[in-house]
Amino acid sequence: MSLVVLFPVGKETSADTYLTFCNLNNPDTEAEQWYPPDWLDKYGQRVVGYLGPGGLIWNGVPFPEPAGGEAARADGVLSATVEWPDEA
Amino acid sequence: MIGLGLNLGLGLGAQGGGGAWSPSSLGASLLAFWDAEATSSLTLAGSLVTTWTDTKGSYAQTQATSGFKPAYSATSFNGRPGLTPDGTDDYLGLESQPFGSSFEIWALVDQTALVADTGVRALVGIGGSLSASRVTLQRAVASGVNRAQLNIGTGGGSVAVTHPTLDFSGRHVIRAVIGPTEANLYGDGVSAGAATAAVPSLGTTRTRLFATTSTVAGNFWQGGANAVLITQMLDAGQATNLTNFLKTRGGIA
Repeated sequence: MSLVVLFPVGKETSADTYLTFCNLNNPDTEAEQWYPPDWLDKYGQRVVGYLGPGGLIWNGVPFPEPAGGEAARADGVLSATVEWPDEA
Repeated sequence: MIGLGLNLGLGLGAQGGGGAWSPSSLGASLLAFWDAEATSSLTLAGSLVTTWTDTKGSYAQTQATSGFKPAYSATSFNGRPGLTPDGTDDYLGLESQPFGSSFEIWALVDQTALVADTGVRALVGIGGSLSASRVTLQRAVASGVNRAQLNIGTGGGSVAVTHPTLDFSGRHVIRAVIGPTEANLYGDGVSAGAATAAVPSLGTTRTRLFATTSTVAGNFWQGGANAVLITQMLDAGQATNLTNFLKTRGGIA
């Protein structure tokens, strides 16, 4: 499982800030985006993939978290699991 | 003295890609072959998979979002090439369904989700966005054991075929037969039993690897994959050859 950052309900702006940080520091420069801006877990929490070791393996090596990452995700919680919504 | 060695090369058995038989021997019966050992079929960003193109029909399974890309390694599948989706959110997708409503799905995979993880994990999804309009080959947990399962949409609902004996943990060859009126499931060449009546009613929206075909991808596969194939309905001989080919590749007894 990959690590993700879960942002509690009400912290959507913080989630957007972290996603912007990830998009700017993503080594996969050909990708359209690091993560979608609207993925929610079953509790309505915003989910953003973690840009760091345990979240991204780049060229076979755990990707070190870029400077500023910890601050950018301060309102979120690192998690090894996600409870996605049940399919409608 | 001159030694004259003659090698007549009469091996007829499947030898995991190194002998005479390979999936291409299926001819027109082979519809798609996503092969991790065909390095030219993979487009990578670092070691992440952006595109996996099948070597028969050129159907490209893609992923444009970094966080959703499976990892590729030349040695991750028992020392052989493989893709490893993370089980959290990784998948590949093709926004079309060119295989019709009757076909077979084959896969050489390494299933690593534990039985304590009781959610369904999809390996291959084909069809529409609803369970009544798609086929999903998946891992489920039944009575505390990992099982291979095939879910077939029939229009008004769905029919599930669960392999009753294969412990779907680790490396296995899985074969799902979706016929026009009945379905079956095979694990390492062993049938799940008598065929199950099911008339598939499949949409044409998409084909996904490692997730369902729901509008928002879900039920993500956890484990590795070396090969995924789509074929027409195979005869017994073809099925035996393909089973043996994949078992040899996977180091499966």
